[in-house]
Amino acid sequence: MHTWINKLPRLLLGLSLLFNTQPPAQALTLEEQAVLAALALNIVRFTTWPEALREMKDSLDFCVVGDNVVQQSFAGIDRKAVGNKTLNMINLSRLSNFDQCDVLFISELKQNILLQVFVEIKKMPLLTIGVGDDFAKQGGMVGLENVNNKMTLHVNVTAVREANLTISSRLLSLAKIINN
Amino acid sequence: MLNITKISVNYRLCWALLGFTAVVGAEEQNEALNLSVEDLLNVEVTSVAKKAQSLNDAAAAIFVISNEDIKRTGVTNIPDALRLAPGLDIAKINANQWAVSSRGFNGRFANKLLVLVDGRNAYARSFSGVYWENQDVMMEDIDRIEVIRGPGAALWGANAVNGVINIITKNSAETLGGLVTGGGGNQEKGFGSLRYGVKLGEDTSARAYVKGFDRNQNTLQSGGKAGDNWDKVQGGFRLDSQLNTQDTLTVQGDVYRATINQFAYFPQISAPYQTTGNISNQDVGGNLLGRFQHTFSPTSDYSLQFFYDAYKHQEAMFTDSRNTLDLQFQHRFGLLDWHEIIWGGAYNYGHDQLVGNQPQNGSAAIINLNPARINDQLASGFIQDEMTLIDNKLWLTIGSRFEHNDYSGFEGQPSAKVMWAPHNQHRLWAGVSRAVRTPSRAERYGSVLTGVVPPQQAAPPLLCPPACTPPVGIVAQGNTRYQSEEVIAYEAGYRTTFSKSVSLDVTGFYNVYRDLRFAEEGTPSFNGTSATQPLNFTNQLGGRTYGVEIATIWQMLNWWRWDVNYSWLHTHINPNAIGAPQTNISPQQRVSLRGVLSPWNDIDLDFWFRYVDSNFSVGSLGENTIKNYVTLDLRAAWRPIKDVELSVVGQNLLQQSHLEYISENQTFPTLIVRGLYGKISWNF
Repeated sequence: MHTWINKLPRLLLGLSLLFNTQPPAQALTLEEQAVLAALALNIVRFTTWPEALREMKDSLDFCVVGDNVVQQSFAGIDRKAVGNKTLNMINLSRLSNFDQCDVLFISELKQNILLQVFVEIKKMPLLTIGVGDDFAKQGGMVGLENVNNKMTLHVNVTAVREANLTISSRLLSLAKIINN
Repeated sequence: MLNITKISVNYRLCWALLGFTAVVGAEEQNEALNLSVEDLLNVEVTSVAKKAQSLNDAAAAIFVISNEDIKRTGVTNIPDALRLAPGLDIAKINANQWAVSSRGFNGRFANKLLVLVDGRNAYARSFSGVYWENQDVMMEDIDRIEVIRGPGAALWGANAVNGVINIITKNSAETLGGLVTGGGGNQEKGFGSLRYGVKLGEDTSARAYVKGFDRNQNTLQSGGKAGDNWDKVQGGFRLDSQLNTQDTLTVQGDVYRATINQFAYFPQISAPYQTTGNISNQDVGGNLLGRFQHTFSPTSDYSLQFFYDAYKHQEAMFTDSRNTLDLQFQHRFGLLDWHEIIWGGAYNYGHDQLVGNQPQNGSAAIINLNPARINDQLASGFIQDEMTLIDNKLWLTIGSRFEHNDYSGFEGQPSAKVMWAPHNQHRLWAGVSRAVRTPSRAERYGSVLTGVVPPQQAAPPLLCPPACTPPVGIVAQGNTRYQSEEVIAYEAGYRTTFSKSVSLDVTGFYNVYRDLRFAEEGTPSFNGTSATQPLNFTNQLGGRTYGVEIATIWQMLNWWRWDVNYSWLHTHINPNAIGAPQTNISPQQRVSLRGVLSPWNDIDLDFWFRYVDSNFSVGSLGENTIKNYVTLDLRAAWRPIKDVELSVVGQNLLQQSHLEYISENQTFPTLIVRGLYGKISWNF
């Protein structure tokens, strides 16, 4: 039995050498969840909220709707500085009380529910970020889509304007613009 | 001593070796945070680790089989796909019959598992079970199969005693364009499918498909051909429409026609007391389902579903025709910020005709149902309240279903579950539930000649003939007072993802059963030439089962994942009559070990070992222990260009053939033959 255990690492090494003939990664590869959280942080930094709201509190409340993996990766940007405020992560377990949020990140919600979330928060000064090609088209503000293993940005400028938010031109220049 | 040091050194080497290439968490996050937006949009992203990290939030023993899992295993039918789940007992009886159960009591007519295909109940009232040969979908269009072990009666209804299987196909918006597949081999002689999906306007999409296969026969344990070859053609459609921002509508349907061959045996009361015959059966069926959903707000919606299902199922001993109309309503809403309430109701109307088939030699039918035709109704209501006791940490769910059916009257099926998430990498849950398995048509109104004891020497040493006992027909006899079987189930589970690349799901359960089916010896009768020994169905049997199910996923390298499941089950049936027919007992241990390798972007390699402990079946052929077995499936796939995939699949490779199960009746022990097939699929 011990012999078997002794052989295991070598066996694994052998197998990995046998199969590991992938071309060496030319570019850096990162986990999608980590990139989503980092992108979300950047998007928040490029967004300006109405003046009145800005002066009210020290934190920028970032609500997350998602599973344990999403929550875990967004925990990595908790307490990060955004201008003179700090990000405060709130894991939303229920789809209510959106008025406590300044940012709302939504992942994997059923279509019919997502549409009603947009109805509920319409005209609130609330930045919505989500995943998928349809997110921004359906009324979300910033959609992040994985196209051939690279993230692309979609910004629905109408939705941003209606919420009295401003997104910097530097970010807009990197995004596909949706105007409806 | 020396050995121990060596082992620890080797372990370190092992971890170091894997650590370099395994999925890294925190460092990746920091690395991402140091990049500019421009760089983040240029970096290559991967999501391979997601599967090993996700924890299900349900307070139940749930296992999800994904579309990718189905594809990567190379399975060609739903029962074979279910072998991926822990806690399920899947045994192939022959090419066209399966025994599928959850947490024990397996059999061709295993009756404690509820199966739903896109919300349509596939559980047949006639013999309480599922005709697996009639359940099929376009495998490529399956979104996922949710396997819930343990009672699911509060939400799903009666007969979800030991589990619920939800087969869920994709929304038609996700299957736009064409797909053609085709292939063949020795056991899968030939198969093909065509699906085409279109957008019918901005908010409506639809697809239609047609598929067919021709499957080869296996071999009998006694030698020779098993005569179990069959073929099937099936077609269907699905339409999904977003009527406005609040309303969605789904309409879908399928029709099928199968020719199912059987080399069957029949007991008969006159010499030679058992006959055999090659029988060709025609199965036809179809269904139409519509579902309307209205969403009031993010926390409130309702759905209204109807379906109509009709089938005519034929096999050696009987023909079962049934028409079912089913209506369901469900409403979900939030209350006081910490309650989520789901309530609803259902009504089901069925009409059936169950007749025994006359064997080819013209002797009397083996099965009789009186009445042969019946109309039955079922009405039920349910309510469930999920309470958030501590936000993001602690939930309590209580609920119950109340139903009235024409067979056992009123049934109450409550459940209570608690879920605790002390940290987002850990989930603990526990629950207690009651569920019932309602009586079948046959248990109430049927009689089945299960075997004949040929004449014996009546007065040794006098020879037989002439001094013989009469032949004795053993007749299982339905009982109009037959009631529901009941389980009280205690369950607890723990799920964790303790590293960025490993997840573990452990469930333990303890089930107490009451009123299980027992065949009690009645008073024999003699008609001058033969005797009849009735076995009357009663609810006298009790028992308990307990077990542990473990499912793990390890993303060892970003191109190599391991899925390993282990199930342990102990079945204890209370002894209450010596020598009386017993209950089928499922294997004590099952192991599934899968390696999912993607060494290059255009190549998939998969291996899948399964170990199944010995199991025990009871039927016309007496009590049989089926030997344990180990088997192996392999798959290799290559995508030479973007939308074309070529694959080769080997099934049950470790032996020429092996026995998985012995059916309760009709079918001789059949060895499942090693299979090899090639397949091509093209997306356009």
